[in-house]
Amino acid sequence: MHDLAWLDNLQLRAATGFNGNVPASNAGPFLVLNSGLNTLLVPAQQYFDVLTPENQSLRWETTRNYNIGLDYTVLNNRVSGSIDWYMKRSFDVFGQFDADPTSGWNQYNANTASIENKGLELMLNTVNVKGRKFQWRTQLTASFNHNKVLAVKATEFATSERIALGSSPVQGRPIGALFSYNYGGLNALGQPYAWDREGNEKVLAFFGTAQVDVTFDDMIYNGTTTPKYVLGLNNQFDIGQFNVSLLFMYYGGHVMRVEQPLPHNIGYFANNPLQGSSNFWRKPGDEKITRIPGYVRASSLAPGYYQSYALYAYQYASEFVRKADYIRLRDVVITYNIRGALLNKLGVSNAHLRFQAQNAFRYTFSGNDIDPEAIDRVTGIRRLETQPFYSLTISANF
Amino acid sequence: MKLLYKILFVAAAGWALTSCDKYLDVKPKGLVIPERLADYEGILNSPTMTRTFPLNLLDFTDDYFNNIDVLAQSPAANGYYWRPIITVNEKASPDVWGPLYRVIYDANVIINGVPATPEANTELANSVIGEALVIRANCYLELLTVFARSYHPATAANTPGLPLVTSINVTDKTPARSTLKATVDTLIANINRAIPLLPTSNTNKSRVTKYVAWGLLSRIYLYMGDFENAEKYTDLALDAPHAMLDYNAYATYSAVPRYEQSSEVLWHRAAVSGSPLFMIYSDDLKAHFNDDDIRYTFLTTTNNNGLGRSSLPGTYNFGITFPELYLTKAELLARKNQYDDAMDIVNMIRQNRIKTAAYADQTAGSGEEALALVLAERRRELAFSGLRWFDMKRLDREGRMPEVKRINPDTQEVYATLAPGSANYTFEIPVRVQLFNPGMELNHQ
Repeated sequence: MHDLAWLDNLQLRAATGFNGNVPASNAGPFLVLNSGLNTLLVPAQQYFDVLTPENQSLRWETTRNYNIGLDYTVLNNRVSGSIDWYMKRSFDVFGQFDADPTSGWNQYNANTASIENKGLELMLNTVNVKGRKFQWRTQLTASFNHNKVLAVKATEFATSERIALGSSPVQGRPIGALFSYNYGGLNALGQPYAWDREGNEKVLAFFGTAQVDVTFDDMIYNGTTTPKYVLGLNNQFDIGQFNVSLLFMYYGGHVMRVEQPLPHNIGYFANNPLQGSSNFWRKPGDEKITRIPGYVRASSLAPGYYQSYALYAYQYASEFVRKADYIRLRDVVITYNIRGALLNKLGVSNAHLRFQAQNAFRYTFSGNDIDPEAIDRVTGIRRLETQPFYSLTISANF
Repeated sequence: MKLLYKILFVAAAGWALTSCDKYLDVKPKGLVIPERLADYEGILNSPTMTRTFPLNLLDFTDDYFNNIDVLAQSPAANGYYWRPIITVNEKASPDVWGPLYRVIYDANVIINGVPATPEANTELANSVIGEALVIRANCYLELLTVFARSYHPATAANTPGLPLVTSINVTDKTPARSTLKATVDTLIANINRAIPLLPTSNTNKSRVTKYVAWGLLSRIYLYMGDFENAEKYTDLALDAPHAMLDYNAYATYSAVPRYEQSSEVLWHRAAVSGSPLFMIYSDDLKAHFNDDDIRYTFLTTTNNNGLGRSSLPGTYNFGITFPELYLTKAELLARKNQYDDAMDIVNMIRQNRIKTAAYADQTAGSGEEALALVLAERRRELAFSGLRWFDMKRLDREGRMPEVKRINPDTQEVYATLAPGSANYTFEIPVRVQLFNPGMELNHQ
């Protein structure tokens, strides 16, 4: 090793594994009862009730792993890190599957899919400056994940809305694949419609004798809602009695659906209507100036009636999907270590003052009005944005 | 990570050496896989099997007024305005259908499972099966009033009824709809199979007895318009020990016995969820009452929306009561032109409900007059008791239901009309069920 004086340490790792999972006991193939006390009855009676239905179709969920890793330390311990590559194949993965409610159940546990996960994880630690009064260290992490659904249990029914909502995984696409309608706008009756691939206008109707729907091939694939890569950059500075660290995170390669104004959200207590919700279709001709559907008619005999399902063409339209890449200053920590002869005399040690700011800054590249961490990336429904959190700590040992 | 993979290796090796022959070897802990009769009997005490009434059935009736937004697409609005689809959301368990088939699942668990217990064929085992058969039949009867057209003997064999489910494997395919006649015949056969198995008394009023089974047959034959059989089983059910409560004897509603222990209650059924408290009396129903009627004091409450329903003590009951059976008996007598006998029953009930100082006998000069008085008393006595939709449906079949309207009280605008003989007396098969069963026959073609 004389020739390689710059190399301090190098390790190569490889592993493979296979494991199987049985479903949780309350979600297996058996008819399982739970018990309780029914206080409706006088006197109250102990009871058993069916917790999960009988389902003899369940199998083991199995996973096979492959992993190769490299650890290195070079340049007199100034640079170190690791590189890991993994592949994980999971078969017969458990998931909730829709049931015909006539069975007594709305969903049941089933082996729904086989999934492949491949990825690369990199870590790089450097000591940039190493002085007595000043030190600067950097940690860079990067992880790249690529997953694909290898096989999927055929759904027993599929309306296009269920494709738009990602209710079941799609073969050949990643987990979290997002599909959308090719929204055409409103027709002269104010009915929202989607285009199919041949350019026909489809006003969606999911029940009754005249059902209208678009097929899987008419839907537009927008990407995945799970970040494909995550980068982390942490810089630490020791300046005399101060330690400062800054952690930036970057999430990228994924998409999100953004909620659109809809008059149905006006006056509905659970939702806040979005700006522009009142610019909806009211009379023939409005379709030239707005793409926002009006209220669903109360009666199926009213002119321009459409089933509420037709609104999905608008709500889950491809044009309302945007890139979700964002960067966030996840963590800032400033620590002041208090030292002094007086403190030592008093028997106080390790006293420090610490200021921390979490989520102090965030930037979304496709438009900073949306926090991609506070949105359902499939439905576009937003929650309260992640709020910055500040804390100040004083601590000491006696 | 290295450690994790080592563990995985060991785990994989361990698994390979000791793996079970069959999946079935791994039995869950802390939960019960039913094996003994007591496990199955316990299901009869469960909330699922005792809370079986879907409250939606009240939404459809002319007893009820609701100022609900006519643009709303909620199950409450769709039911109130008689729109064919009650539950628009095809992802949710459909109202009425979902909860009732859930009860039917539990009943099937008992019917299929008890014969495999060590206690099979004992008296108790048989009665547990009998109870499940009756509860299941009651669910199907409620489903029939909502999702199948009313029963005309001449056409019932060509009218779609319900899918009759017997399997408990959740992945099994749903059978096609049996005809209305086959559905009703199956219910009657099931109850007749249950009667010899059932006891004459049981641990509480939520459990099933022979009398409950007869009471249910009384309802089914009444619904079919088979008055001879209806009377036979009404009489049998009325043989059960009971006593009418004289409301004059109670200073306030809170002194009346709880529903669960009332001598007027034959079978207690609670709502799946929710309660009729504060549901508003329609003007039509209010017109049937006057201030001398103690029911009007005990069972109403006023709030901002108007005069609302209230409850006697205990858990509100939607099951079979003795006043119901008496009124059914009176109706059947009136239909046979025994109008004096019919009025005797009506007056017996009224003596227990009208303030003594104001009470006077009602009289009828003909069967038809008596029938009108019986049906009016039935409106009063069984208001918000879960039977009005059943009554509306069977009376409409005979042409005895007037037009029912949903009117905006401020503008007088008519939002919906349920005309005599309207197709909207039958709701459509839920969307979610249609999606799973594309070939299923629909009610609104």
